[in-house]
Amino acid sequence: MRISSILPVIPEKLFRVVYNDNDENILVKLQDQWTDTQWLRDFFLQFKKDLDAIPEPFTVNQAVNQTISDADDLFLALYESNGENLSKLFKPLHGKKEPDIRNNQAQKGRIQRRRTWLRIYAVHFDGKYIITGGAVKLTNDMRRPHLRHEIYKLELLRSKIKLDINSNNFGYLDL
Amino acid sequence: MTSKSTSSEFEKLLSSPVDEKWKDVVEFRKANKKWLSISSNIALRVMDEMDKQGIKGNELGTRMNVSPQQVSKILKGRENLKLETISKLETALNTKIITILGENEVVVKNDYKRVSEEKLALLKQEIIIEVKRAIQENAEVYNSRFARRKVFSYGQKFIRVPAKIAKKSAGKDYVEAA
Repeated sequence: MRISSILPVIPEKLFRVVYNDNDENILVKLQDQWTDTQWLRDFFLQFKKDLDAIPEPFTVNQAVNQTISDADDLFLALYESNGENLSKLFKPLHGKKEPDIRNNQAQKGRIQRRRTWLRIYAVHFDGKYIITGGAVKLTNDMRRPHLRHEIYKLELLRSKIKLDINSNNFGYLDL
Repeated sequence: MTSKSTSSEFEKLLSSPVDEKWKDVVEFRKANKKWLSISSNIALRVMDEMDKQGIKGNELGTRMNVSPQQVSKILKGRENLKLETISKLETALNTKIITILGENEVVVKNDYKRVSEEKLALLKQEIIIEVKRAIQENAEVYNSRFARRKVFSYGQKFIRVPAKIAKKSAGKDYVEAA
């Protein structure tokens, strides 16, 4: 897998990576998967143990309905933002890299609703967000194969654009 | 600050076409949210039934006399299904998928029985306490025929018991009747 190009999603602000082995629009692909009842049902059946391990009880069918609803909300938020306030939509992938942890914790305290398990992964630099992929993340860690693959894609982009891992502007982000 | 090399590498990779298909999808799904949700729930119901009966998509297609592609579209849960298609699904799976409720019908979830049993137990306890209290406070009134009728009708309002049993019990013990 190689990165062949970067295309704008919202000019100047939001971008997406195009890979050499698959030139489809990542965002459209995620939209398609996350609103595809059969795909989601198969996914939750495959990862039933992870679904059962989350604190809030969900049957497979409830999880499918919740995901579709979350996906609609998520893409609508991205659409309505029109590229403004993307820093509010995207959160750092690793909590320790959050610039203001106290604010973050306060925010978590206010939001009673369960956090969505949908993730759109992006690399952030110079006010630009470059989407590398996305996944349904039911576990706290990134050890499942499909999540490890997302880390690999983030690393691939970081390496390709020679982004310094220690840079203050660097962050793996999720939505 | 981001290094110059990063900006330069980014610019090298950057191409121009903007694909706004995802925005069209957002608009479509927002405008059609209600029926899309119904379509998705029909797909889930169909897949549950297929699993139960051990049949695959191609078998369902054969039974419905539609192409495998059509079955695939239905199972994605994004099709604006015709009533004709829903009827075909019901016939193929020999089951009800959608139901129109009659005026005197209600939807009851599977776990209603358990919940209703728990409620019933609580209600019985409440009635026992209430009747005991009433008897203690005014024994003469509750021993009258009027009082027996009141307790009987109160119990019957909440719990369906055969009239014969209820009357019999009411005659000798208000609590049993309730």
